[in-house]
Amino acid sequence: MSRAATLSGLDPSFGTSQRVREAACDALDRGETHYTTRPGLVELREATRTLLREYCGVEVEGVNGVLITCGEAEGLFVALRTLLSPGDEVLTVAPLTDADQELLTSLEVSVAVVPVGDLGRPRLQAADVAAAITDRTRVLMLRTPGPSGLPLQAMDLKLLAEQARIANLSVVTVETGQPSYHGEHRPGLAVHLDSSTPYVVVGEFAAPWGLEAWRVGYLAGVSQLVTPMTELKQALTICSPAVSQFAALAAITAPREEAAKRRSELGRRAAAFADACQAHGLRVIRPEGGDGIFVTLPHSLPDEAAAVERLARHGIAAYPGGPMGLPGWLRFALTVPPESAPTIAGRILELIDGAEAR
Amino acid sequence: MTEASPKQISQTQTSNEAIRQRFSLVERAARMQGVITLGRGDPDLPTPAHIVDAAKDAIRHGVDERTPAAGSSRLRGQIAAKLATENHVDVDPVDGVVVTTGGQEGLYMVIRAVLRPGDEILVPDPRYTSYDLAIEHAGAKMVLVPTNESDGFDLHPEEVERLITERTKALLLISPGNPTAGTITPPNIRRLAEIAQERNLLVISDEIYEKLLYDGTEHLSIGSLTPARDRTVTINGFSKTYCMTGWRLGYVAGPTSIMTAVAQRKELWSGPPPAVSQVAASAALTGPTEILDKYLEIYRRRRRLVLDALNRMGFSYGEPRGAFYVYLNASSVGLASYQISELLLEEAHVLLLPGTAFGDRWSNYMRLAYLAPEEQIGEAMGRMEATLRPHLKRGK
Repeated sequence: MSRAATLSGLDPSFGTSQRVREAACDALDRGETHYTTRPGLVELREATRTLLREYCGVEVEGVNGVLITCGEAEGLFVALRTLLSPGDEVLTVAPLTDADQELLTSLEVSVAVVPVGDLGRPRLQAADVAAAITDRTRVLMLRTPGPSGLPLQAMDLKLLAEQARIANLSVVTVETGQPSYHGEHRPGLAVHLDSSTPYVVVGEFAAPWGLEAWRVGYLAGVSQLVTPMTELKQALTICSPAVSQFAALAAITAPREEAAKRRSELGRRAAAFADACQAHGLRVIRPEGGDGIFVTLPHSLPDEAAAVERLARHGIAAYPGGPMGLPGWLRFALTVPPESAPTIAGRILELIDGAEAR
Repeated sequence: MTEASPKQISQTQTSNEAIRQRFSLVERAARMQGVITLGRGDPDLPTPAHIVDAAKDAIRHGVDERTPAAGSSRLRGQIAAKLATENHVDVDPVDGVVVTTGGQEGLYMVIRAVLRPGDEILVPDPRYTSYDLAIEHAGAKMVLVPTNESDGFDLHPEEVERLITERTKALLLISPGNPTAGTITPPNIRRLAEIAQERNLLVISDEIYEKLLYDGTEHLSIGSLTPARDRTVTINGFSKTYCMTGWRLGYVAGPTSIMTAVAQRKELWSGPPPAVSQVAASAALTGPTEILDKYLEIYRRRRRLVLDALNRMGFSYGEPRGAFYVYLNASSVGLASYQISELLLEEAHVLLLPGTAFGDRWSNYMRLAYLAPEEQIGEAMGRMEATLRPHLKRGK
């Protein structure tokens, strides 16, 4: 959920590691200030392949199947703009982020959102998935984990993969494949896809890598899709920034413990914030991964927009759940250190609920 | 994961063969040994040291947070100040500037923000063909305005007027131009501003080569002229002047109503440019300028070297009054420009881009970018002459 961070001006803020800083400075000292090849540094694409194999269980056919992007947003736009025409339909699963909703609207396509039942234990029904597919459906787009930080179960991912195959859909799967906060391996949709299903995996080297401000992401998959996507990327930004690519290369080839530490810290923040919210009588969806958390009041929020605005006036960024298919909920980025969680949770309750709840 | 279905392939095909050819040549050259590259518009000179130092300083001290999608407020303010001081173009420093990940992305976002299906946009011919996709995606129609070698590829107002229809929405200007290195003369710029006002056109003015001018050529920003003041979007960037292609940093500036729409698209489709690149751009705008004079002198010498060699070989060209290109007329070779590029790459190990990369009707032209040290340029000219001599027609 980079957008939440962007608009709030608050990222998880782990900072760039010393190793990455040095690698970036070394690249500048070597004069790496020119265009790279259009798809990105070969070494970075190769390292990305390795990462996708390790985390997502996906074997991309050679470095030509990997395109380095200026972050997830560019990758997602390039993928969807290449695959979709106005009037087409996209199949996805609740909750849908507001940024994704706006992106799809800007592409003049419609969206069919499959419900997941209990928000805390998302599950899909085959009939719901089948009913959401029409003859205009072209693409299955999925984030794993979604904005709630909860993954779909393997059997649900298999169900989606099977429906994509039957309906002859292309798949755009936004996944980092990052293990959960507790180190459990949670591959996304890509690993379940049939070999005949055209797909791309989109992601960004962001919070777990300490690279939020460097704007480097990837788009990888079958060359039939990646090749035209590379041409669109060329028409947009030509190539991704060189020094950012060298920073990303240093980050993702570093010992995995660095990323694991950051994931673990996100997990501590999520747990502390969830505990603090619950102690104040707020309901939460406890995430297992990602960088955000959904919270709601004991009674439903009367006006999400007003609550968000009130919080923003006091320097707390939140996103309304309504546009994401979760009315009555607010999403917060995991920017708060564990020790500050009780104070912040209390402040949120005070600001949203005001005198009525007291 | 193998074949895409016919349905999916039909939706993912893109059209521009010229762009593919251009990049195929560039990528082949990169894999070969001993090639002198006079193809890609990527300055060989280094990013000035004070800019690199500012970036390194920021990296060491932490530049860890994303900026707003439209760019840091500091950089936007500096860009607005630069436009006011140097170009006499007034824009709102908060809502009138969007920092982009390169000037090309800026153009894409502007085109998508202002053009609707059925609209027409006037574009000088030849053109940088990477712009085509933006126009195609907007569902708009590109109408090419002819320019000619004989007058240095100037853009004539009467040609523009002749092609305006009731569907014409915008006029794209690129001065100095790519690939021609020609400039639009100030009297023509002034008349084009009046036409834009008379015919209610938006002007998109790409000024990325504004500081690379020769022989006393003057740059005039159309957005500074009263008739065009409220209808011009200025596009610029740091790649060419400051040798910062790898930093991918540009900007668009203009009326806030348009910039708001551009900023929305930037946020949805791309997000903010890297924070480090923005710090570097800030240093470029506020740092010393002596190095730019030095670079310009280097380009001036290279340009003379190239033009002398082309004159010896009997090639004609439009007078290159700016940028770092020469768009030369290779009709005397008797081969199509792509064949000439192939021949030069394979036999002379010199890369020049074919004119067809810049429009269908330019099969007799080649773009030469003098972006290599003088010794290499001299060597390349010698190899080029030796390779093409057997093909050159007599009397040229």
